[in-house]
Amino acid sequence: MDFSNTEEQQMLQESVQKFVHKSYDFDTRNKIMATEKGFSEESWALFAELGWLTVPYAEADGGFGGSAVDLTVMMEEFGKAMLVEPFVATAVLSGGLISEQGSADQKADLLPKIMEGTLQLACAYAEPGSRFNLANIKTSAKADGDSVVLNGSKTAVLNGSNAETLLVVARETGAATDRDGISVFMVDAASEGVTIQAFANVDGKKSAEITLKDVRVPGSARLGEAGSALGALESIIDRATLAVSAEAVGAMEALLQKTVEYSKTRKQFGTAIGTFQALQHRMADMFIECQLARSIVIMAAMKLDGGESVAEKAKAVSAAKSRIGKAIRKVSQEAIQIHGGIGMTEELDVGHLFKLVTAAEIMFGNTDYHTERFASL
Amino acid sequence: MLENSAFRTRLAEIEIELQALEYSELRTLAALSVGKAPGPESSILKIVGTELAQQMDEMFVDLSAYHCLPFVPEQFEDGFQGEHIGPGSSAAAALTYFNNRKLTIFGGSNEIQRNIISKAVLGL
Repeated sequence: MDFSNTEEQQMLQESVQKFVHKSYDFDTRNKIMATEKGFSEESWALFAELGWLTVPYAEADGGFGGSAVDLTVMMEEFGKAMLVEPFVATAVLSGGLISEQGSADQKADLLPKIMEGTLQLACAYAEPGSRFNLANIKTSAKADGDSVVLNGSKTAVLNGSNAETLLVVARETGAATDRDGISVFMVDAASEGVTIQAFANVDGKKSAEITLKDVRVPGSARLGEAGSALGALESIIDRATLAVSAEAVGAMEALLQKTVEYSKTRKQFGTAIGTFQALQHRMADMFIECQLARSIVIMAAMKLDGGESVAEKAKAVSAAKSRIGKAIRKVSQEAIQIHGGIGMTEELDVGHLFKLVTAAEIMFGNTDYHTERFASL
Repeated sequence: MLENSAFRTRLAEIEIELQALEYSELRTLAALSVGKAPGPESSILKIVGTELAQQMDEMFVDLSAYHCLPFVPEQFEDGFQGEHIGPGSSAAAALTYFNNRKLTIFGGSNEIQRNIISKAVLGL
């Protein structure tokens, strides 16, 4: 098996590293995070220029035709630098759903705008009380003549306050948790009846709670066929899960490296704390966790790129997310503990990395959920 | 036992750990195949492999329950003619569990492996 980066992957990695080195240091990132939008439009335009926004899309759709492994290479670098731009929300999740579920016309209309960096999207799938069950959709979509009327509440909508178009997952037929009857509708965020409550998550990424009250959209706003969206949603959430897992791998590596460096300079009893075996073994364990996390993300990415069945792919992603979640708790908690009080301050990046990986553990299903999903598949 | 959710979770976690270990080994082998020497990183294979094996032994003990208690080692010897006690290899579970405490001790104890990682990989 060949695990070395392809030439393209190396180029992608260097491209992100160069960008971070030149224009995305920790202070810049915090200033961007504190703005109302919570991300930099200038950076976003640069992402488009550098071709990063084309990575998730097929060559037939004008994209780079990036593999799952390509995506993980980028996301790891994003995680190290804690980029707050809504790459996962717009390019991986929402754009991915359009390319999986949309008609040829819908793809031709929307994907170029995403790749050019001129369209922000958000995918409203989760609902209060649905937890991580993607089939648990109570938001209703009722046909009324040529249009469809949407009613319901959506939670944890990443990029929800910045998106011009929302992809709303709604139920046309059946009872909540039925696999059939789920569709996705493109809804203009400024539509009558849409209420968006914006906030930032603990990791600084913008999110929103959204309510839909008698929101009327034309039937043509439906992505693809009626009632058939769950399979596409599951597969794209799996890809987004892999993306945040890789982001966490990058962030964990940064945490390990910063902790080791700090332990070499911080003195106690007249000697660097990194010379204490009690701490050395704990950092060795952090290293082991980072390596296992990296291995299982590579495994999941290779299986997504390979010829495995849908169930095998889903199982590999759940294995990765479950294992990554364990590594996250261990590596991030130890990083704070070994840093001591300074690890809890706003000024040091370690606490920010801690928040990033904590959010990553929850996004798209936490460790318990994915362990159970792995066992059930 | 598969209907017991605590056991199901434990089994799933072990299976997942095995996959993470397998891909770590494949990564090490891939590095070897392009002429790189096995680095101190391979210490993680010893640590994780042996600790996982011990977890599996523990799981067999728990799974066998009463059946792992009879101490009748001769029934596992070649040419044993008598009647086996307990179903399958459950009577061997405890013996294996005892014997495999050695895994984390020999070949450079897992504490030594952690010393190697902290010195040679982390530069501490």
